[in-house]
Amino acid sequence: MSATLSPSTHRTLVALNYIYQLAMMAVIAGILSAAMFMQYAYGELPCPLCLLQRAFMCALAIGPILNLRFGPRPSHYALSMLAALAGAAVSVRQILLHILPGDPGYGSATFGYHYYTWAFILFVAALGLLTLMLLLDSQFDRTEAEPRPAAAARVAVLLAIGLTAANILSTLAICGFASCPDNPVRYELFQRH
Amino acid sequence: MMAAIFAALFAAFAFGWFGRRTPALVCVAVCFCLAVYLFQWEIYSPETGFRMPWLKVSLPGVGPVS
Repeated sequence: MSATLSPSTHRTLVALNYIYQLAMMAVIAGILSAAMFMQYAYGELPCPLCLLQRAFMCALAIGPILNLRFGPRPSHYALSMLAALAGAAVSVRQILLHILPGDPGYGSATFGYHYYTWAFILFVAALGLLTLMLLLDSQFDRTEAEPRPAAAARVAVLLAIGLTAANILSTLAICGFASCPDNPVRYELFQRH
Repeated sequence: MMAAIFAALFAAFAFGWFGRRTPALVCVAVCFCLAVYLFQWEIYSPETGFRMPWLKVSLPGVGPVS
């Protein structure tokens, strides 16, 4: 396909792909930051299934990071798709836990849906978007050496790495060194037994 | 265990960004394996196993439909 593309068109597609990768990183960082904000500002401690959804939301970023570093490859998109699929499975399980009429659900609702329902919607949307991206064959044709990642990419990746590190510390604080409580109400690491 | 999942992911991001693709993929695989194991451990119940009995419905005269 790319044999028929002019160099300027190819450069435009490369730039659009670069913007897409950055946008994905920004959205993931925004979602993770919002979850952390709700945790610390409103005391909504995440349950084990919520933490797993957070982990898979973080894992969505592996595709964009590898794409930014090594250039777009189908395997990078596949990793993100696996993360989205697993995250959707965890979300569905939590939705089914609270599906009976009268069940108040876990945590508070935002715009009418609980966080795990939003997580499911976002994972499915990510799956759709990643599938659409895989349709664009021309991004996988390399006509020149991959450019060195620009400052925006470095900032985005450092943000993702920083948020993941924050989640390690946060998880340790909530669960301590034991298994995570089903319904956490305090930071186990800071409790004196 | 949960923190280990995030730690594996952190390592995968760091390896990936610093140009070590294979170690990054190994760390992602470790992260996925740990997460799937923990997910199964979390949803398992000694009474009902992996089933969700509250989803069952009953039909009059027929009994529970699974």
